Amino acid sequence: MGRTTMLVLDPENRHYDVAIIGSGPAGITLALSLARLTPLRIALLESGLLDADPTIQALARAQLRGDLGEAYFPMHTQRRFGGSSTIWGGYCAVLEERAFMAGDWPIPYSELKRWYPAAAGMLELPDNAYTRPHVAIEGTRDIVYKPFYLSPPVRFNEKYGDEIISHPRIDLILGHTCTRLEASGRQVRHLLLQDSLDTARAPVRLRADTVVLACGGVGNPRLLQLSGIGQDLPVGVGLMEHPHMYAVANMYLDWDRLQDVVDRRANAVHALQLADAYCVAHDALSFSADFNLQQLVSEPLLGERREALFTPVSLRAEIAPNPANRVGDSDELNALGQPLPRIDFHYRFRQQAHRTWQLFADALLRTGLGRPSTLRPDFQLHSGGHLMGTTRMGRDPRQSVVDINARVHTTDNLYVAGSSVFPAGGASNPTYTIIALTLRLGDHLATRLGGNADATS
Amino acid sequence: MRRRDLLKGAGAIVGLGLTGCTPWVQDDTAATEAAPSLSDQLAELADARFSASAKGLSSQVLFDRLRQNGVLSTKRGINTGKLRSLARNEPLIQYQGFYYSRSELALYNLAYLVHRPTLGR
Repeated sequence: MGRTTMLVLDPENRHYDVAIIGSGPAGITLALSLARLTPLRIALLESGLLDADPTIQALARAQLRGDLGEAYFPMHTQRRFGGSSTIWGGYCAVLEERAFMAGDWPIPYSELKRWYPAAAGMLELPDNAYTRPHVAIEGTRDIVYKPFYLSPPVRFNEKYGDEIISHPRIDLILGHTCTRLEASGRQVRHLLLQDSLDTARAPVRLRADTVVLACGGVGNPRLLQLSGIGQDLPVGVGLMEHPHMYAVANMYLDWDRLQDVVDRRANAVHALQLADAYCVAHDALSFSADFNLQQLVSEPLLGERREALFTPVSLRAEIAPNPANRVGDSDELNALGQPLPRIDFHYRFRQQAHRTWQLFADALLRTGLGRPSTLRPDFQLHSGGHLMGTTRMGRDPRQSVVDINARVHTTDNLYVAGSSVFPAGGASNPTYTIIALTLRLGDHLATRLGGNADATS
Repeated sequence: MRRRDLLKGAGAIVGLGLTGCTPWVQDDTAATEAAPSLSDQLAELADARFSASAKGLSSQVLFDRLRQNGVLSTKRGINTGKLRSLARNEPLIQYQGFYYSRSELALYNLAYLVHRPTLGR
């Protein structure tokens, strides 16, 4: 029987095959994956408790410089069992292939496609989420229809909590913040754990043969930095977000050409995207133009009076990783005596937004699929709470932090799960891809550490 | 002569007794010879929102230009394929906050001038 505990008893004598730091969607997914595939003993560590605690939540504070508003933290991070799945909205779509075609990712896109079906199952998405992730539209190869399917949304703590807590080989350790990884050579030897509430208590050490960071786009690089691991790697560098622009334009869309394409039965947000090949050919990044189905009007489109959707447009866009956007040390300390992360982030997006919208407008109008309005000149950028790219995946240690298997380049038994490994963030909400990549990591670790398919009992 | 060609296409509206037509359409006695297709097509496209963009333009000049580049034919009406083909290379024009291709907007201007609708759709 696994133990759910806020205290690590007799820690020096406790040994795990795998320690997973962070019990959000990635951490829970990995723990379940390993437990189902292997006989390994797993520790799932969580800074928070089963429910939100304001004192622990305050440990997620950060010093913000730039475009992320003061409310960004703690709004977009949750230090509790289930992590950000306790507050997410459920938007799911496959990552665009553009970045893979452009060589931004070091793995082939098939590596993601392989795991999307299982990820859809975890998130309770319809099969169309991976069998029909985007659909061609008659008469154009430049624009595709892409629905964003809505998970109920799955709260990982509620859906998977019982399995985690009752599993005989998973220990869920709550209320302890991992403050440092102690490494020697190319190995992490111990995890230093601090009681998240009783800061006067002496820290305890936990031993694990393999360690996986699953504590978010800020937490992952931060723990590496605080541990002095990967000092020659670009840890924390290249933070990405998804700029959201709500009702920033309008467009008419030819309903005759869309009505057989749009998945009207699905619980989904409908969007158009520039096709991946079009983006690559025009050196453009991915973006989604959301539309709704509420208003049908008559509109002349390329010389014909057509029945058309008239809809406001909200955009969700990809930005390139910029080295100036980064996570590092601030001059403030948190309650555990550690420097708060300092997050420098600027969207630098306005010029790109206008160019990308112009490309989209061209493609939409020139194929007669629709008529776009101009972009509102005073549009506001909003954040999505999608922190990506701070421990980016790549083959070159000068340009990346983890390798193609999500292992930290400098450390043989240290892995990273979550969107911090994304070298390019696309324009889709990241959770679906986080789960797919985590299942892939689970499969890799199961194979490397001695997986046993019979261990699923 | 070219004007007459236009009237063959557009002039059927005279027979329908529509108001708001351009004077040269109304005056043309050859209207009864016209095929209805182009006129009907232009009537379909006519929209009051193009009153501002059509202001000061000549329907004759618009017709000539659209016929020369193959968008209009008095026999075949509007060639949407040609319009689409042209749209791939023409600069986009911003009008009242929306994008149009140049020939497309010219066509809508012509439709407005020929039919002069007083209400938008």
